[in-house]
Amino acid sequence: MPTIQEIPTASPIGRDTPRIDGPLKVSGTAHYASDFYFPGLLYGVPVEATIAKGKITKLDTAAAEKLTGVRAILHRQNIGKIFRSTLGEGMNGVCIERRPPFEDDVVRYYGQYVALAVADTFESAKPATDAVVVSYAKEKPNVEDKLTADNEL
Amino acid sequence: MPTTTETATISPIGRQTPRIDGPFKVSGTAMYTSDFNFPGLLYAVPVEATIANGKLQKLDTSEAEKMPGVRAIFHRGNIGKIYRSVLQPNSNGITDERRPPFEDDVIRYYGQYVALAVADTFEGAKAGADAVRATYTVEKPNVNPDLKPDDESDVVETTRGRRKRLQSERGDPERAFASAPVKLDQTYVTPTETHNPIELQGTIAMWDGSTLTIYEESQGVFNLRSVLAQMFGLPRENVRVITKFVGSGFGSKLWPWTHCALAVAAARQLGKPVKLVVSRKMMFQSVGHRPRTQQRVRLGATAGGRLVSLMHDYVNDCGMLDGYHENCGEATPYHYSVPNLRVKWGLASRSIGSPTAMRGPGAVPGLFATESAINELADQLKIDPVRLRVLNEPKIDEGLGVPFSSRHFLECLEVGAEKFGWSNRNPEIGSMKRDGSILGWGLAGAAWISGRSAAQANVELRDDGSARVACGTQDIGTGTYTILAQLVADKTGVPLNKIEVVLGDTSLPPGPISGGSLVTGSVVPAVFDAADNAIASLLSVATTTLGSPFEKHKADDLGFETGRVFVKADGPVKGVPFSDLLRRTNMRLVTGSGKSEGTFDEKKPKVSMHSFGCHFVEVTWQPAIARLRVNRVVTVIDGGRIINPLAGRNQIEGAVVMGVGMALLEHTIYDPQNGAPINSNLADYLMSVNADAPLMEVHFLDHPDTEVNPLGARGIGEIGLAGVAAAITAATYHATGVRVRELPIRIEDLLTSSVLA
Repeated sequence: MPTIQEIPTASPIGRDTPRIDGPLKVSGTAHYASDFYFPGLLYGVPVEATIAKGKITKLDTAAAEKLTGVRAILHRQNIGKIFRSTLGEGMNGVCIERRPPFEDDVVRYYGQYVALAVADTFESAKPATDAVVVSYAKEKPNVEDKLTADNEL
Repeated sequence: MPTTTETATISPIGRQTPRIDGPFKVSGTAMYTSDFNFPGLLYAVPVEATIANGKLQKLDTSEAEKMPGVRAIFHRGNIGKIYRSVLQPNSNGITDERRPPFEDDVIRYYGQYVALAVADTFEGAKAGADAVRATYTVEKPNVNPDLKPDDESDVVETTRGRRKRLQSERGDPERAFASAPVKLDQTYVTPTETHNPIELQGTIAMWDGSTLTIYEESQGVFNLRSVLAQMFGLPRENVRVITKFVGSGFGSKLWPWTHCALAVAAARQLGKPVKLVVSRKMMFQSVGHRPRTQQRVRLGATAGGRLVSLMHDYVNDCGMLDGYHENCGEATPYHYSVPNLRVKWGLASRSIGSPTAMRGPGAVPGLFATESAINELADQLKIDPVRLRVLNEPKIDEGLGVPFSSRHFLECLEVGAEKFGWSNRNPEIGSMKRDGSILGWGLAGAAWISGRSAAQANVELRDDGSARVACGTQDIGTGTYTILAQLVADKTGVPLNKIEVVLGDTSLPPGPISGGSLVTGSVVPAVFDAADNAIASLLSVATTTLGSPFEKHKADDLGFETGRVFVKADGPVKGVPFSDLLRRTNMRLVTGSGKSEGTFDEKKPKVSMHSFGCHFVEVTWQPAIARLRVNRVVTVIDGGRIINPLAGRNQIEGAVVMGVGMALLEHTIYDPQNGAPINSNLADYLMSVNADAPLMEVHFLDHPDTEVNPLGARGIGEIGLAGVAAAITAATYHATGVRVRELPIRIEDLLTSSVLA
């Protein structure tokens, strides 16, 4: 039950106020996204493109799928529908990389995800991504330091 | 795949549109609250007090607890904490019975819940409830039908906050009345009426940790959420209320009642879902009713028929704790032009359950009194009652001192008189005859509030050519599902059969309560705003997304009509259906959100927004067998633009039939001995049935009121009931010479008639 002494007599607005969430953070009890766990949870590790420009010509997942603990190797053909999003009114739907992952086979930057390994543990998912063999039709990337506008405004 | 022919080219606004939810209802697939079932569901039946005033002395539950299937008998000692709630800003937290169930041992009305039996089956719970033994200290209940205000204070604490008893005043009405050449001073009484929607009230309550889900046939899911959150000490976002279909409400399901809190508390105590459906008898006791009103009306007029003074003093009865105010004076200050006016009210506490809003609360009983008085004055002055109304037509709302947004009352009278054949009326009593019956002709005016409640909505356009609209309002059988679909069809060109309407859920954007005839007027701007935003989003997709045929255009170059996106310069024929555009750009949907503000929070309104109307009634009187029948009713409604004339006419006809019941049948009677509503069943509480329905003709003037919303549409759920009873008593007087000022008209009232066939 609140007592008189517990009721603040002055507004804390404008006063040096230690963060009320500080104790949770310094004691390790604040739950960040990856701290949560749920029954039956699986782990995903993406396969990264090793080129910055070109096209995927083949994705061989056979070896990866046979590895212990691997539940699936997901890619453009089996990931299911992921739609595009767009900007709505009142700054709703903001997204910088608008293209949904795996939407096409074009690779536009180094590290673009081309597949996803899912396994019972993080440790099983990681080697599965390494076992996915990707072939590309490679083109020369443009990472020129000197910047000129794409088109004249 | 949608083709061009599937796109609606004509807007359904203003067209006769069958209800989109009709097929679900007639096929039995519409899920009403009590149709839902969940694993482990238990059934609850309340134990009702059998006294109306006194104290609960002892509650013996031992026998009930031993009965097969009984899980628990709850009462004040073991129900757990149920907190009080309060009224909050923006019309949240409204309830008419504020006391949480079981809060104390005092009994204030017959049927007040004193315990709750919960069992595996409904039958088990009923038997358990019957086996509970309650002992009372009994005091004499006060159900005196003669109403006098409890006290003379200027301000009264009501269920909606503090209100001044002096509701409206201008000029010097006492002096003007005293010196008026023609005077009328009469008192009119309307009885307690009970809402009898066929769907009984009920709740299914389920807890998951500290979150609560409620299935309830609510006329206001967001208000119910705010009340329950308070009563169970929860953040609002932890409470979800779902109402998919409502088997009518008439106001009885607007605000939460105590059975709901009991179901929630029982589910909490037992850790299982609990279903509680009240009985028809309980519908008469503990879920509200229209209160009895006693209204003195004084009119002063010139010999030529100009009103010089109007005084309307009324009292309604209410429960011992609630302070429910039936606003009978709502229409009085603006309905006619009169320089001197006073409207004042009072409350008379009785040993009864709390009253609540019933279709057209306030104005419906109020207009019975004031319109009856106007009719009597016309007879006194020997002026035609239509003419008397024309003589006193106001130029502005004289109560607020502001213009009307749209008032066509005189046109209502003109059209009604013409359609009815009023010019053939012989005003002499008992003078008109047909087929051995005496004919009586009478009329009355109608008025009802208009405006907007705050509303929000989401509209989606989808890649299969369909649309979805979501708004947290309700459809209580009035046609809201269909209205929402019509609005989206109008804006997007998507045909009605491809529009999914989602409502009745607090997880949706907040929508208005289904009360006050306000839903239609309120949702129009919010849904239009949402649809516009969805279309804007679509056009931005068209110009900015890889794969779009319009990638090289600016959004301003594009148009959207009848479901097609097109380059304005090329016209819609060369356009692309929005479904094609979405598919080509790998998009399932675009969404727009919309909102609009309410009009009732404005401190000083700039215009007076109301609907108007009139009823012309023919009764037949057969003196030999003392049979009075309402034979024919012509109704004209000035209700703004009518979005769906099919559902609209249905609303007005239903209201007229209800008005016949108000005039001739409906009357809840309290037993003076024990305070019980004694005709608490559908056999003894008479209501109009099909056989009582007169020939009905409904005319809508269809003048848009664009102060309310861009379409000029108002809701019309209540206006049709206003004035019906006064028109019937006027027609009855014309046929029989008997002036009935207390409803309902009883056969014994008419036995004094000296009119012969």
